[in-house]
Amino acid sequence: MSGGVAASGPADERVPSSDAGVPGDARPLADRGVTGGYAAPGENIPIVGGAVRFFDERTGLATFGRNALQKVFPDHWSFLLGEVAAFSFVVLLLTGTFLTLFFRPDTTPTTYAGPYVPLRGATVSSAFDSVMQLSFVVRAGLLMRQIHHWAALIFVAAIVTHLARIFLTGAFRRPREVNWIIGFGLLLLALGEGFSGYSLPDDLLSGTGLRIAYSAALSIPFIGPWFASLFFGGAFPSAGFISRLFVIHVMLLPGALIGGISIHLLIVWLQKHTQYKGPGATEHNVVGLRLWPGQTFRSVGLFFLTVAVIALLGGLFQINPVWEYGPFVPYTAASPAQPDYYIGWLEGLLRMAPGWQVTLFGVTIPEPFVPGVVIPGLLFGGLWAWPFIEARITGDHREHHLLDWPWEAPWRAATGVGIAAIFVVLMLAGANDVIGAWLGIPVETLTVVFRVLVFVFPVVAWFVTYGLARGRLRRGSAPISRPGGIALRRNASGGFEEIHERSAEAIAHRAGEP
Amino acid sequence: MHTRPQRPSRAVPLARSIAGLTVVAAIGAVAVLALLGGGPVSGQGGSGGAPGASAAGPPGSSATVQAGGDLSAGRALYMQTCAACHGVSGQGVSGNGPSLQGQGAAGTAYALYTGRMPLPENGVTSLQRKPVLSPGQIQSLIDYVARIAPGPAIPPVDTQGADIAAGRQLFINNCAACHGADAAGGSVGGGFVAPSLHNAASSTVGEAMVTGPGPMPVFRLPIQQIDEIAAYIGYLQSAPTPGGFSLGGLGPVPEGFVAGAVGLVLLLLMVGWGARRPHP
Repeated sequence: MSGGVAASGPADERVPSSDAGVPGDARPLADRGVTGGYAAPGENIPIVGGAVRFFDERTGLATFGRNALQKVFPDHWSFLLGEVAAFSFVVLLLTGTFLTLFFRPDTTPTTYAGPYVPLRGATVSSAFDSVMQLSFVVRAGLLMRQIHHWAALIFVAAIVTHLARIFLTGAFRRPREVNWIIGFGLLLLALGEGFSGYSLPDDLLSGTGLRIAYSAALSIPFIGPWFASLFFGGAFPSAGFISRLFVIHVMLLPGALIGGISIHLLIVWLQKHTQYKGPGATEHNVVGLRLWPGQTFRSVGLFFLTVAVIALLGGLFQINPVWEYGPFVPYTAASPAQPDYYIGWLEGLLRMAPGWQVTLFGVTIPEPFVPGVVIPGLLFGGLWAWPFIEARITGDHREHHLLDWPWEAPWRAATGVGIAAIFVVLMLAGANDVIGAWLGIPVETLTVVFRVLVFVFPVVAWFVTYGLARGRLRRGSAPISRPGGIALRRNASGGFEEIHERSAEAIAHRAGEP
Repeated sequence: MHTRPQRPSRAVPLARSIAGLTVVAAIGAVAVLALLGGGPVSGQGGSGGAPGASAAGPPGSSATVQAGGDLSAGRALYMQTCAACHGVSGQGVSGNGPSLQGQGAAGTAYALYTGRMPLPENGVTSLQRKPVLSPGQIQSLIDYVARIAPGPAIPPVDTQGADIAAGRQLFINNCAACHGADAAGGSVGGGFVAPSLHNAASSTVGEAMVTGPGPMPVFRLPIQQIDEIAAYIGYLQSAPTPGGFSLGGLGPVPEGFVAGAVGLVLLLLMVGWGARRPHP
């Protein structure tokens, strides 16, 4: 087997020629596996069959398609988390397209004259006015807005859960560092999408958030004022910023996300999936369901379930009632004022950081710079480079296709949970006023508590996780749950026995392996 | 420091209450005359600079008019439920309870109708509770305290026909920074909490504005604007929440919580369920 790109699909006895699709192959396309075991769809219907043959003879897609349909997906629930993220993104694209039909990215002042009585006669921006129209006039507009917003919250949550799985099982190790970097970039893009979307309605809450972003940009030494002015198109609140955000939100970031997701999936395709240790699983194969029919039905089902959950949230729970916040007026603010949860950790950093402003060598470093720029940069930079950091620490530069169970690398599991603990404390600190009012604890006390916790809790979490993982390791190597669960069979004597062989599943070999 | 306040001789309060009766009767007469004259008491507002008490009409007007001058019931109730902490003449008791000076009818009504006073026991925080006194008892206490600790009268808040849109603007400008855009309340620092207004009566809104209880500032607004703010708060209380269940009006924090606790958990359950293998 040559190991060419197209031949890297799952080798299978039903694909007759393993050289199918190799560039420079001079044989007629029809001989390159197209005449294999299956009839092309619709071959018996003259017109369809003719059309299929026409395209196939010019593209060779049938071979590719047949290989593609036989791609094997590992059989474990944790491999579906990324799919949930992808499906939420589809919901975002569809509902977002609907919203763009009605949203006006324009800050021109206008007088609100819609059906929402408490805002009648108020001077609002055209953007805010269009969001009000969407919410109260456009049929299903509010539902679409709410589904879009909930989908954004679910999108990031699914990405983070997916990322946690990748981290804890060591799926990022060579050769998949590349896809870790792309995937982490996708998370950052999603955060940017979320924040820009949160800011678009030009309501009081989003304006407050934008002011914080502007201040953080302003705080960068040397370039801050220029950078902020360049990015925001003048001093905050600049008239043109909503239209800039709009382009970022509906064109640049979605484009980058679509491109990034495509590359992300392409690389998964080329490198093949990792898999957990289990019966039949080796470093050189993938055990699981073929794309057709098993994984296809599973994924399509999951798509509809994801849409259903998001639609349920959008239909049942009010989110971001902009009519209550009203239009953004720079001299007013409402409380509590938080960003969406996925930016909450940044809010927490800004809230708990001491107000230290230092002047070094005549350069003033404003207060928000360290908590708003430096620490996020270090946290995310460190996570981004994690595959290389871990390889450097462990000295393990080998390829890995079999995953670790989280407890099999206690040091990594503890570090992952510790980093998660930092973000949990930061997010709670970002909600300190809500928590304080809820628990009856002064905000000032909570701030001190969180300042201590942000150092203590991750360390405690590290040691607890490490201990638990070591304990799990010592107790034995059998995984807690076998992928796919246990199958029972009744034997001749009437007793039950477990079935261990995996007769029904496919085993695909990696590229370059016999 | 902890000497119990001496029981006053009976003569002094009695003389006071007689004097009080006279004053109340005189003010009542003036008020009745004013009303008969057709001039709306609240018509004077507009500049926004008038002190809270006078914005709502002459001190002691509306509350004491109906009282009919019967201060003895209020006095007895005061001695029984209030004097131990606030002092027999409302001067306060060091280390036990603050002075009532300046509270007047509005401050008293605010504290009693919201159940913040009397405290269920010594040393607990004054919080919104179910009022323990009957409306009649509260009214007689209001009359009495307004007499011994004069202050702003109860603003005659009338939300009927008030401009809700103007109220929203005023609410966002003056109230939302602490009570929240949804009037759901929030922390204001120093351990204080701006309470939720989701159950606040419009009269309570007015009383709080003219007295500024706790860390809340006094809002010297014309009665018309108080009406408008109270009307908007009433709108927030009673209007349907477009888009489904309101998550407490607290913004992205509960929204994020629901996204995780409901959305993500449901999806994880479905992922787990969807990944089950059919038995071979």
